[in-house]
Amino acid sequence: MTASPVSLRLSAEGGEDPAELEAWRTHVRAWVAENVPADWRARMTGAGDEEYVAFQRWWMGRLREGGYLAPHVPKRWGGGGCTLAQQVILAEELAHAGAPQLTVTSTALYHAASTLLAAGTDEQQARHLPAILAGEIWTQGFSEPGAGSDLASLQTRARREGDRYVVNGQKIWSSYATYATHCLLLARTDPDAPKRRGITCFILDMTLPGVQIVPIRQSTGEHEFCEIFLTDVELGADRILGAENDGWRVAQGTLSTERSVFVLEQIERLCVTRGRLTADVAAQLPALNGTPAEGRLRQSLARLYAETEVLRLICYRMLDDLGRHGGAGPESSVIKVMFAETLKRVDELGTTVGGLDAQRLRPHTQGVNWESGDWMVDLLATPAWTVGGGSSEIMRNVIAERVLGLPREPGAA
Amino acid sequence: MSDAAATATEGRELRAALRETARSFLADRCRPDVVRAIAAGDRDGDALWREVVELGWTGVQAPEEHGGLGAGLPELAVLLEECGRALAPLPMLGAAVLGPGALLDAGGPAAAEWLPRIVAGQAIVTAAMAGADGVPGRLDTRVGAEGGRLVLDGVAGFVADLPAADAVIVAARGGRGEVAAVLVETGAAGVAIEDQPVHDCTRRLARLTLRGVEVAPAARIGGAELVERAADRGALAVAADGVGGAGRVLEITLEHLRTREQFGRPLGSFQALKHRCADMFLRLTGARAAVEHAAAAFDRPGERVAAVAIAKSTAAEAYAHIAGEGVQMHGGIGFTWEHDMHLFLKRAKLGEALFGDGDHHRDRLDRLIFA
Repeated sequence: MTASPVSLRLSAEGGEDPAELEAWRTHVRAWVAENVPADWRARMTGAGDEEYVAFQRWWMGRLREGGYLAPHVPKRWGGGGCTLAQQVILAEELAHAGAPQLTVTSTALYHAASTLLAAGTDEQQARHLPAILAGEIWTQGFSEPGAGSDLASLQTRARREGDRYVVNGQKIWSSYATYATHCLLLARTDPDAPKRRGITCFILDMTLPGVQIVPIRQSTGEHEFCEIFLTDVELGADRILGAENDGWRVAQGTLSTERSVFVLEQIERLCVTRGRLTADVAAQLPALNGTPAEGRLRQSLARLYAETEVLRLICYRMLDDLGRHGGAGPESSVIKVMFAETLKRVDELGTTVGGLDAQRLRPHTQGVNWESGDWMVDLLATPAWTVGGGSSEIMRNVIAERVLGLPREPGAA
Repeated sequence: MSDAAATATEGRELRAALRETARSFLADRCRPDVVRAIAAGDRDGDALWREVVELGWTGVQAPEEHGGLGAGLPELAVLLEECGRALAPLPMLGAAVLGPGALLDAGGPAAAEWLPRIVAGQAIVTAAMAGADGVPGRLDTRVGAEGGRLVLDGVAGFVADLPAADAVIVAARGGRGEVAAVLVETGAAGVAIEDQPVHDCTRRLARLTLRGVEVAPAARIGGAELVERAADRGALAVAADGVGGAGRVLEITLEHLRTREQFGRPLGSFQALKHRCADMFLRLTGARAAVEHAAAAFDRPGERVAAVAIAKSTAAEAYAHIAGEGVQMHGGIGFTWEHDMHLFLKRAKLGEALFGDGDHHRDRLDRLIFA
């Protein structure tokens, strides 16, 4: 119902011609209509791992040919080199068309690429950015069994021996590590330093001796996430991203522009999903005609409608801030919690509306993030959002302490 | 910078300036003890009101030819937010929102006659857009024609700032079920006004009774559209008030949690309370975004109803929640008459019910969703 005023505001702030921007939207829309295969969901339903990865690579190739891959990465590295307003429009059009999301390569394109752009040496950038844009798969080695939300207490050790580092430890919740050739690794280089210091960010080649990958089967039956065991893995000093012992800052610095556009795309997709929920509710209404259950259901849907619209409006504010000041305000932490919890409520209502039929086990679309089309599968997958990337509880602490200025828990570092 | 960007920047600057003026004025002249005194009736609230009129607050919406600022709802919303922060016991709903807004929609002689007087603080015009229970969409007033005159009968409840008003725009149903907006002077024969005291002592509401009230045909200044827009303007105003009030409650509560020590540490260091504060902030952020959007979208074709319904349900419910949490987190003192927290809670709960509650606005959204 709400059109996107934000792209026009951003273009105005950035001195772009609104007519040119509308031309860009027309261009993107036509390309999407021509290039998104109508049957891609059917093709991915019950697909095997190889088929799925092949499809992801194919879709990435299409995007690259169209000039729409990694719109935030400069053209010299093979990215789209798009302005913020153009990125917003691209995200909206892909979301509204129900285009496939890049899942397997998303850590590489978003996290690794932006970390390399922000902290990488010229040599690291030249070596990895073109490869990432060509489809190199990366994973992330941040979390550990004993250091999930409390990331700063990680134990994986990189011991310096001459001009090399010897790494030992275990990582967990690494997305798509079975397919990855590289990993953004956080390891402790100074065990005597305070928790947040003494951590270094490394580029880890996953084919090195001593790297072992074990997939984790999730409650949905899939195994996106993996454990990584590191035994005497040797890394050269040229594998450090940023400065030694500065890895915490390097890792924190990646929540920037492109993440905000990524979030906008997720929210736009949630609004599309809301349309599917509305259709499911509409199908139930005749049977409930005039009952109190009908009123409750209608109210629940309207409440979710308002919540998703509000989420979108908060995201517009964040993008406005980015357009004007180049940094995101407190909205980014707010959106992290609200998106995850709203997504969960949408999946919960979809599952409730589906009744027993929603409990039937059936093949679902592979690798679509949270848009499988099966409410129950998507509901089971929501911890990837409510726990991953800082749980909703951790985010509430962050808001309370960093935004609202409340004191830290005594004893917490 | 492009023209559009220049206009956007200008708008932002105007709102920032209005906010700063309003905040410092209210902090100075409308301190909590003044609020309490005016609410209790032992201090002349008219003096404060005259200053507010001097500042131009009743003329924000009116065009410059009528002495107004010629600004819009986004600017008015900023003032209402600040009034909410300060719990201002002022007739802003009637005098700055409902009356001028409806008259602007009506245009013509009615606007020309009343707007300059409203802007100058010589008159207050409010609007009665609902039935006896104050819920928009239900009307208990009728209008008929008799010998070239319009005749009004019926009741409307919980009309904002009616006791202070010189005229009230009444939504009434005609013989064929059509809705009319009729301007009635409160001094006319057959008009009875009865105070409806509410728990929120910072607002004045009253019940309007019309018994064979005769007005000229020209007093019919609009139809259903004007009535719906007036009710939506009221809903948006209360939502904006809620953003200001909720923001202030959160500030006061955070200050308390940072300084009050229990079990040898500041209360605010307890995670159980921190998470609730974070939730207050989440809801406040959503409320602010929704209200800002509704104010900007109010006059854009096809956007008003959804935007207002979302803003009213989101912001008014957020305020009530946040004020309730504020009371609880202050412990025993939050429950005393001396502490201001109950003033916020009462204003929040009234705001939640005024101009349609959350369910009412979600029903409106529901009709749009399945339209």
